[in-house]
Amino acid sequence: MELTDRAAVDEVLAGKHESFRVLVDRHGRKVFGLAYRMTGNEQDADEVVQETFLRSFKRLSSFESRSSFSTWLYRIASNCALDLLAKRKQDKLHLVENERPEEDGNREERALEYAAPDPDPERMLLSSELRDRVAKAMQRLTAVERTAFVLRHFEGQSISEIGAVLKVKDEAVKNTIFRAVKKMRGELEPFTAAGALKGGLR
Amino acid sequence: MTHVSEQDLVLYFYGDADTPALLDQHLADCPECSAEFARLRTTLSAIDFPVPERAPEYEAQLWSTLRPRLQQADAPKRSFWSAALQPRRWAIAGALAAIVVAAFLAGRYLPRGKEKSNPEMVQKAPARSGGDRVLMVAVGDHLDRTEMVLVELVNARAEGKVDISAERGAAQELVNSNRLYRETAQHDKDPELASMLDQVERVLVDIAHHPDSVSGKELEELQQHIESQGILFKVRVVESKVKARSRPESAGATKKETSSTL
Repeated sequence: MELTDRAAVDEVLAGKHESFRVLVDRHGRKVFGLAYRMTGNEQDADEVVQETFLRSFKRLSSFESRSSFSTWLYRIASNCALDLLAKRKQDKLHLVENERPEEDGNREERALEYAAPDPDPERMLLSSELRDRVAKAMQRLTAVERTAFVLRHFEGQSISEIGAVLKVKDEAVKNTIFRAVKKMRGELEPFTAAGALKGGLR
Repeated sequence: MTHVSEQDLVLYFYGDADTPALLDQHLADCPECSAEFARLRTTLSAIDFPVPERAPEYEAQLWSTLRPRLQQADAPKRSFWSAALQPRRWAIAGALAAIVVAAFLAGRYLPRGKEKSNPEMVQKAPARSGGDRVLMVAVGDHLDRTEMVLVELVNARAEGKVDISAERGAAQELVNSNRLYRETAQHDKDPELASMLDQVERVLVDIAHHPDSVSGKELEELQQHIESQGILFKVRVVESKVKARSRPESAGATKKETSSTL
């Protein structure tokens, strides 16, 4: 019989560290999905996945069965992604500071290019422009807005679960999601109006 | 007719509205709000960010990368935090940190005969990069330990009587080393770092002044105090900058540069 998450945690805490693999096998892909949507590229997502499991392993003793293991793990993953986004922002600032002087608009555009996802063949198709728009619109969100939006829109987490990740109250989460949606609409609605979103991307 | 706000429509779309039945009714009766909601729904429904497929052997690869890193990590045990936060360990860490700072200060401020006799050499020497790195390594470790205490307190469950003796003891130790680093930063004319350490110190003093055992309400107040100042976030940000400053490749960085980033 397959180990439950709780049983695997107990075995690891009892010294059988190999049982941690059960948790990695069971949750690895989902953590990657969350990390990818939060960071916007595979390399950073892989880094977040590694850090998430490493951090959760070290903090396993603080896991109490108040919430499911997956909720606890995704909370750690969200925090790891937030930390990485903050680090990338710093890196980008340094990068921009070190560039030769140029127009502000170009500079912003260039900073965004560094964070844009790697190109892939799918993006050569008809919907590629729209996907780029979504990706760029998401890059324009602040780290906190992006976290709240990804967790609500893609992961379907509740307001209070998102509040626990961001360590803010429900009202603040609602405001953050609203700000994020407003920005996304601002970027994408010209396409909606032009009918480019006909049929959607799903 | 009063129209529904955009924020309420967003909440309604995600199923988070406080009064969904009222909104249902309003959208049925109001063509303007209904059209606005249709626009919102079209856009939001179209937003997708597909996740690239992972290979079938993804889990096996992930495990093979993770495994050696886990073996190097501290093994998790039920008493991990209480062991990590033992006052004796903190006392040793604090003492070591104090020695590092004392060595740094001695190197920086005690007169050096040879250098005086050769002003040209002093002028050519890279300004304080080695000493700065030593100090930054010590400050980075200090902020690491501070973060650990704050995270533990913020995540503690505020119910019944809560034993915070380990965190309190650790905070007490950290107050002393923090003071030393803050004074050094002030002396070194690094106002940003000094200001952040000043804020950290106030929070640490607050923690250290609590009794070993607190009520859920007291812990909640303490958590709010920590969170309201955003101190944990500030510690993380400054910690990453300090660690960057402690790396050898940043040795050439001038103080002006580091001050502007802190």
